[in-house]
Amino acid sequence: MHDWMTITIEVVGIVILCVWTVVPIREFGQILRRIRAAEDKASREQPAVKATETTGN
Amino acid sequence: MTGLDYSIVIIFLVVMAGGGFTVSRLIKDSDDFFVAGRELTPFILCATITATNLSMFHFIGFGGTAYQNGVSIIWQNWTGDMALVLSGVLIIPLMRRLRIRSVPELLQIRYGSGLRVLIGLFWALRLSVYLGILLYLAATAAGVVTGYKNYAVWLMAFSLISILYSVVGGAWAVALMDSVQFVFMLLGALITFPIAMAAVGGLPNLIQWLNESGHSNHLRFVPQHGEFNWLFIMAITLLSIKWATVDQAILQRAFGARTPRMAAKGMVLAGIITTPFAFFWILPGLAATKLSPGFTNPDLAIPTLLTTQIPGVLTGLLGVVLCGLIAAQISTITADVNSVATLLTSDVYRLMRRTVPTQRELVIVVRISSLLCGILMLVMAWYLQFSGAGAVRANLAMVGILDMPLFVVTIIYGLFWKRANWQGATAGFIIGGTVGILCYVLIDPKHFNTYLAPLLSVLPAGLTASLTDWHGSVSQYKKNLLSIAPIASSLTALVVCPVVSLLTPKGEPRHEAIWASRHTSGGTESLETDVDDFHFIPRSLPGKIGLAAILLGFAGFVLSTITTPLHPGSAAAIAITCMIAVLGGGLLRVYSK
Repeated sequence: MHDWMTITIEVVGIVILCVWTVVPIREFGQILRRIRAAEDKASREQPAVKATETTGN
Repeated sequence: MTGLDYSIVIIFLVVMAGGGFTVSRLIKDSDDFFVAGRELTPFILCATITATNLSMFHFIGFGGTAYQNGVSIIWQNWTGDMALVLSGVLIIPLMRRLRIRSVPELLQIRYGSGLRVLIGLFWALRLSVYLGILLYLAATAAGVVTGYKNYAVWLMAFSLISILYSVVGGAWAVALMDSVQFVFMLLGALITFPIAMAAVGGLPNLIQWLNESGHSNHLRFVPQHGEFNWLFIMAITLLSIKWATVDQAILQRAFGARTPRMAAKGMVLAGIITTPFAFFWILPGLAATKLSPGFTNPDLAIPTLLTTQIPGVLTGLLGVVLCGLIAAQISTITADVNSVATLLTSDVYRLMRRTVPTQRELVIVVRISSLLCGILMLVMAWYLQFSGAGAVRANLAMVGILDMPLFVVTIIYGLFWKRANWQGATAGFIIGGTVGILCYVLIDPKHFNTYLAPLLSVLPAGLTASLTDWHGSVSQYKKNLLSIAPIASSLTALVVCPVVSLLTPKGEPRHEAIWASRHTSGGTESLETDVDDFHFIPRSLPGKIGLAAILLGFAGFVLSTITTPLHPGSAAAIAITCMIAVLGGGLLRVYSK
């Protein structure tokens, strides 16, 4: 049987574990979406730059 | 260990390696490698800072020190947590605003390139030595847990795995792996703690046993006597502030933050969550005092507790706990190897080369740097198995001697005194470090007889007699060396840096960029949606209250600890209350304007 001090410390630990499992997964997802969006934007702009270089404008 | 335990560990390592290779595709330029593209958010930052910070050094080293000396070693963690808050609120936003990658880079902005190369080299060496301590702990623990006690094989295995992780994925892999490893680390601690407590009949029973068996000093959070007494807590407070403000491995994670405010949030959150978690390695250490008394090497206490208590509960559980320990170790080693590569590449190689290096050259330099770091850490780990000093003492000795002068010249004079120049900073660092080394050589009879005694015959007779007499009179303070050395080295740097700065020409003013970084840029950071709005002096009332709680709480903690001999009964309660004020104030400060 465990005492209340052990249980309190364990519960605090479990709460921290749960928060730091859920939140970083969400944040990593957001970062990857941002990177992907930035890459898409760059690839869309690339042909436009080439076209400008070709026409000399 | 059973076959299931081994299988769990192997699967964990393979999955982690797969993750590292996947993340490595995010690396497109050197910012991606060194500071994860400066895209990290507060909770990831918190996880990566905490995982970088926590290692077997905490689980096994601190647990072992608690086993031998009692609960007061917890202040090495707790003062570090307060220091994370102070640094996160007052220092890190400034550094993040300067868009630097390393502390030596800050030194170049403030003092010039010469000091950047010197400190870059020093810090790379210092981190490599610390990595040696971590490797020693990992190899020692692996030998005890598995029963296969070939120290050399374990050293090679841990160093190869860690270097592979960090070289392949850079800071992105470090950040992602740290977040995953952080979870495993917590899981390992959450499994070990209740099992250890159940083995001693619960925490109240353990406290009663320690009191009745002559170990009552083990229960004093701020003891008056012993090696880890109030004086040690003061010394470790200085070292913790140093650690949170100039430690390359920690700062490099914070520099990866998307904005200065996110850097501050990540640091403060890391400080807050590590505070309750300190119990997860200190209390099993105290339990081991009852369960396995008699170890002269304290680093064996926790591995023995793991192998004797956990397998009886559930098959495979030891494997999960080991994944946590390996995770803690790998995350710290990979972060440090990444930092050494950053220092040698950005701060030393780039500056010493006249022309701009190509990306191919930089990749080669990163790999050579990691290899050099690997060799150094192996040498240190090999030496430590014979020293018997214990990992915590070995590390404290090293940081006490060398890191404090760096903190003084970088933070105290670098950020807050315009007149400091490169001559003063260099002299303060070198002379401060030398005084720290002299403390050990002159006070500790072992070092005196090994290093100084052979030289005495060639010195003038008068000087020899004085040194021997002096050694005789101060050797009684040997047990307080861990406190004396950092205080002496930092006080020396505090005096030498301004004296030399004032005696030498002012030189061109180099402080403008640093002073400007105290104010928000007013512009945007990283993406158009992220506005830099973290002011050095808060604008809102909650922000001001938070900052006041941090500063008053920390001042109260220092005053209460220094005056412990006057109020031994209440010192611990006051110190802990002040710590809670610092942590609470930090949270209020970073979440308000």
